[in-house]
Amino acid sequence: MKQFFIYIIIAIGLSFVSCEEICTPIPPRVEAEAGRVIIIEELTGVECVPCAAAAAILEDIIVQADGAVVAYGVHGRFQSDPLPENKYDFRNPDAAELEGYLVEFGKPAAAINRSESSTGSFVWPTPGGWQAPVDAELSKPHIANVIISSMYNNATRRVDIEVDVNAIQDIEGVINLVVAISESDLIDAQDSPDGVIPDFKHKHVLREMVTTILGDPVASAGLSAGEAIDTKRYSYTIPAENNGEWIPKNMEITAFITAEDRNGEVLQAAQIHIIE
Amino acid sequence: MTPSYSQSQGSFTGGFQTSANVFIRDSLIGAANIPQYDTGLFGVQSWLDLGYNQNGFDISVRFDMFNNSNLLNPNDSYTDEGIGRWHIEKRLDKLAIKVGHIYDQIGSGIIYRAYEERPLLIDNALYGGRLTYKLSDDWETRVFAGRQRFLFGEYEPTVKGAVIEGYVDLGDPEKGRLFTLAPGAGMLNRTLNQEAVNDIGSSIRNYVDSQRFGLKRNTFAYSLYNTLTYGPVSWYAEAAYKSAESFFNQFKQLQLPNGSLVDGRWVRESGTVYYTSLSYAGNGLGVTVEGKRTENFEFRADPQLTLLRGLITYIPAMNRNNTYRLTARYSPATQLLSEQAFQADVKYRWNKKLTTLINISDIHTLDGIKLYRELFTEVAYKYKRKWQLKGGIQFIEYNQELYEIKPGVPLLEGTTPYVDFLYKINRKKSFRVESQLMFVGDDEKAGFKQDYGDWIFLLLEFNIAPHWSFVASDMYNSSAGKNTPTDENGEKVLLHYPRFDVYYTHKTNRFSLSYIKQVEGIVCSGGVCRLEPAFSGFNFTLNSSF
Repeated sequence: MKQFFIYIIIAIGLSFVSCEEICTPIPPRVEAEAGRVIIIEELTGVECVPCAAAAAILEDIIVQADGAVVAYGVHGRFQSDPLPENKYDFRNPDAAELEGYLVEFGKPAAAINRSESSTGSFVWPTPGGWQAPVDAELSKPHIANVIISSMYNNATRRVDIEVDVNAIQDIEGVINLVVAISESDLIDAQDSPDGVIPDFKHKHVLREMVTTILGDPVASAGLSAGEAIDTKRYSYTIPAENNGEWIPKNMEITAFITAEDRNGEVLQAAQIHIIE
Repeated sequence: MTPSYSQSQGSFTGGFQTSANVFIRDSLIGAANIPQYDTGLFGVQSWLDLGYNQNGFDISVRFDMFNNSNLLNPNDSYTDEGIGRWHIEKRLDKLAIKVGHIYDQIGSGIIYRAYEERPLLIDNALYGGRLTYKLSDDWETRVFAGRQRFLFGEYEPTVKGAVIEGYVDLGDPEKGRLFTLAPGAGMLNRTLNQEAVNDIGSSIRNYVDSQRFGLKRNTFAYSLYNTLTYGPVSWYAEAAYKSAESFFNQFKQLQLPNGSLVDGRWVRESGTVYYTSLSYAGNGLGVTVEGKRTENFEFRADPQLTLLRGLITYIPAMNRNNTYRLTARYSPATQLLSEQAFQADVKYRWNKKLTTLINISDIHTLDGIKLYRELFTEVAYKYKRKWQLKGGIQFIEYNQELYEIKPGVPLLEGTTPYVDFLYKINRKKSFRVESQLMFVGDDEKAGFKQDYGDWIFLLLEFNIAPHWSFVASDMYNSSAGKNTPTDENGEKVLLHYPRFDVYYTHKTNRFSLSYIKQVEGIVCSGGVCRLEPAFSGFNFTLNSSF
């Protein structure tokens, strides 16, 4: 028995040093089905040091996806208090509520189609690892269309939003619709490892949820393939322009549908500019 | 020692631990805006251990319960319950077979440590099997395989290891000469699941060619270690090597396709740790000198895991384990990617009454960036069995920018004198008073003192043996710092953080009830740390063994 164990130890040792493993190929870029769009909800904040780099990685993912990925940045509670150098305060109650729902210890982090990670969390904490869940979501089938249209009244600063949803495949259970307003190209301070960047370009800053953060129910018993919901209409009045923020041409409307049967996972998303 | 009650040839042992919190919102200190304060209001976590031993069988099971608990994530609520751990072990002469959840470590834990640390919710037991064989009275070997536990499941990657450890006595009992060796060698293999490799592959797919690398599923780690004891001198040395593996290095820059650079990217590199500890004890003198060099030893069940999750490696901390509230306020977390550290601890007992201690530690990155430096002194005077007085001073430099990811803040400088007086009124009653003052440096850029500024801490403790203990303490922010809370007018508010505890011990049961108002801070155990947000509320604990 003693010799047997010594042989086992030697064999294990030899196997450790003698293995020559063949490299695993880098998986090819995922080609999403035509029309498939997913959403990244980025948990960020002006006090969050690594968030400047995370924003660059997010932008790269969006560019690489060629329209299949849309996003907004959630400046909620954690590390979101304005810096002394900030002109703007990006925090708002909806962002705080959303951050509370998606909560994760630490920023940056991102919810990707609100799908659950292997640890049961809604968010992925490492920006360097966001591409993998993005790929996973992009590779899922395109089962519905979300179509946004808007009409902006320059005099009243009111935008009327219409959202249509039609199913390509059967969808079971309650379907909720989330509509959000965001704003890009806001030049303001952002902390970073090299200190505060005074003129950081903040993109897709979540301004307000037009619906609740979990969405308004639009189909209580699912949809059959080819079936559509009645057009959903919302309106939103953009606050007066102030010191370079609330600029309609920089603002976006995001809409997506979620499935309650899948713990709120996003099925399909869309994003347009208020003024195209 | 857990008592046991024999039942024929077998014995049952057990233990129960619970901690319950009532959260009372206090937005001024930052105890707000998380689910516990907003909606949950109450949280509890409990563990019940049961063990049975008979005829070489050792069976153990643990029930875990988390109900609206903030232990997993201080900013969130976690609720789940179930069997957190179990094992069955059978000893057959020289062979021991164990299956289930297994705690083990190789050497000092650098290439592998599976252990439990409840305050940090670390329980990374191996879920699998282990064979232990005694080759002789002095030599033992172990082989094990399994997956690392996480909460009520396991991570997908597999872990396999082998260890051989021995004891060699070269001394001469007749001459009273002690000379022993305790050598050991260990190997570990971690095989990633294909999904994890693909996920990393997805992340590096968009990298520029010069930053891309080949993906492999296997990582190997080796460790050689030995403890040499010669008379009053003991010397431990360990060298560990980890083969190249993929991990995220936040200090390396990623070049995006548009040419811009951002911090942090995946790399594939090998790692090493060298650790040694030399100690002497004799003639009232105790000296320990330690040194460590760490390079690229981020080693987890899955490289995509972060914070305290999935750690396979445990690298010894290189600073004193301080226990007073203010001397422990700034503790350095062990750095896994780049660290060079040194520590010396000298204790001398002048006579039965007087003892002195001095401890110094110095931690840098391999690039020479100062991380932590501490000088700690203590003088203890004991007068018969009537009273004891301890006092000393601590000087620290703490790289808050790196440890707490607070960019631009200067190296925190702290000076903390302290005193601790224990007076025994009679055989049953005793009284203790403890006080510390912490003075920190200036943050010239912010125009305030560093971090939260200066502190005063006072603690009064009254004990009635063997049952009762009453403790009242207050930590007062005596001088405003950059992070001192502000009121609605933007003025800094100097706050008290009081705490009241009552402890009751009955046989093997210990109860405590506390009212706590606590500033945010770092909680560490052996160099493994996490940031704890501010807390406001009540805490009840029960520790029981049977």
